[in-house]
Amino acid sequence: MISPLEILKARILIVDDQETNVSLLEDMLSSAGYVSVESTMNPHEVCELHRKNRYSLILLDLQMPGMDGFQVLEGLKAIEAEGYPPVLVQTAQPNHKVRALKAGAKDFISKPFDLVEVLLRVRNMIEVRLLHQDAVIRTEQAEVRSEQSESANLAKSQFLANMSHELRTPLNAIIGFAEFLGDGKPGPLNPKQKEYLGDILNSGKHLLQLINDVLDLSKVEAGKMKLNLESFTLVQAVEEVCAVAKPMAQKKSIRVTVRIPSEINLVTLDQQKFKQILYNLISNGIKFTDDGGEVEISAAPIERDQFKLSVRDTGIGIQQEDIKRLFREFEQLEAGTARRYEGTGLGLALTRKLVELHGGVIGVESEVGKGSTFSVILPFTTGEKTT
Amino acid sequence: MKPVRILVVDDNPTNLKLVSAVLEFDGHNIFQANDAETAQQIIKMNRPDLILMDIALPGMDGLTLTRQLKADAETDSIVIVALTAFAMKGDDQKACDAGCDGYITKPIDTRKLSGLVAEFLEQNLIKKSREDAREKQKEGK
Ligand SMILES: Nc1ncnc2c1ncn2[C@@H]1O[C@H](COP(=O)(O)OP(=O)(O)OP(=O)(O)O)[C@@H](O)[C@H]1O
Ligand SMILES: [Mg+2]
Repeated sequence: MISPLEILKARILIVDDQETNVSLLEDMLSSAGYVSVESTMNPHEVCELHRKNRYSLILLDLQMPGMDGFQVLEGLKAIEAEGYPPVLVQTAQPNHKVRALKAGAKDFISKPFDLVEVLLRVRNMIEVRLLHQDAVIRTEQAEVRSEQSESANLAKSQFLANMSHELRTPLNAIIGFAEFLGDGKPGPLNPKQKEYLGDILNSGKHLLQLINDVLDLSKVEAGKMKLNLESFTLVQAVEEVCAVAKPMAQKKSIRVTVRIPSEINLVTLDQQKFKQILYNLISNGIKFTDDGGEVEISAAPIERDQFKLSVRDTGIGIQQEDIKRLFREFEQLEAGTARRYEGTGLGLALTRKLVELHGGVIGVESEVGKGSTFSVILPFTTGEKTT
Repeated sequence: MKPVRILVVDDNPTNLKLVSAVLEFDGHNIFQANDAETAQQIIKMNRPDLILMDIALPGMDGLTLTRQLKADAETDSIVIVALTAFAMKGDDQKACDAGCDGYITKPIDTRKLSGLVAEFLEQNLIKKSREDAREKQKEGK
């Protein structure tokens, strides 16, 4: 807010070729408490003065010899980059009022002057002017701040991307050697040794998955994730993902079914990322469903150019109020000590980003205790674009 | 498969060791180099049948060495397989452009490496026998 004191301290310029008018206005303003009132009787120097002093208000007479108020107004408009000349015109001619407002004056006072009206209009004009300047400064500051945080964010993503890459190299060696040893190639192993090597291998692969997720997320955020588009058969891709998830499902005796109508055949997407999307949804479906449950993958065309792919499970379900948290990084609904399910909470965050990268949307419907259905809507053909 | 001489070039000692261990297990004769310059010396002394070539090397990179080897009649028939990082899109194309006979993406899968190497060697044999046949045809005419 603008304080009354600030208004009284605002710089004001009176422009009039008649000395009596000038002194009349000066008297009015100083009696009302304004302390920085200046005046000139030479219209030619108004622009120069304003350029130097940046008045909060210019009381401009319209009829002056040599250069009339309208010309001065044009000059002032050219100076004010944001296009806000703080001009209050004074005129005796009613038809000049509208003309001056159209030309960019912000308000007018009529001659002969009415003391109360003049003071009210002057105060209002100054208040608006100061508020305007305030807004301009705040916007500038906000822009600077958002630029700063954007570049900080980019640096963070860049760091994460580099970091993940560095982490993977030694990890791949750990996984590779564990695999090689565990396969008994360098020599026979006893069952315990085999088991522990299996543990090293599984933990290593889990860690690798995490690092890959972080890398992917940071790539999306740094705007470096590119789509590698190709045409492929939807059913085939779905079946391939199901085959990968199968061991997990079998362990829990969960039946995985695929129902994709034959009218959906070829799609043009980034196949690897599409599989990643689907794998995340299917593995969640299996993970959050009790033994003996069901996971069903189905698809249906929507309008001409989109299809909906759904993964339905008969699992634990999700509470309505939790749904909006699901797609955030590191969000797990059962956080804390009593967690029953493994995971990190990156899966859905990344999944959503990958879907959006394809110009699609992801959503979920769920009922606690009954199950959940995660659906993505994707275009049959994603346009060439990088984010 | 018949054992062959394989040169593994990788600047990461652990990777070098892992790839070598896996291929050694298959009975191949393994030579190791951790940079392109060492690789050149080994090739001169003991011409390998196949080179597994890491692309990013300190000093001369793997693709430059590949171009040199493919431009030299002494060495142009060595099968060169690039080791490319999975994350680096476009490296596979660069490897082909440089004259590599194929590429394997890192991280290497210890269970698939032997099969892939055998495949590349076989492809090369087929290619060679076709070329030989063509040569003979020409001579016959
Ligand atoms: N099908 C589902 N049924 C019930 N809850 C689910 C389902 N899918 C996800 N959730 C809930 O949403 C949370 C976030 O899922 P997300 O896939 O992001 O993480 P996660 O599976 O726990 O870990 P990650 O996928 O990183 O290994 C889960 O922890 C779980 O609480
Ligand atoms: Mg998950």
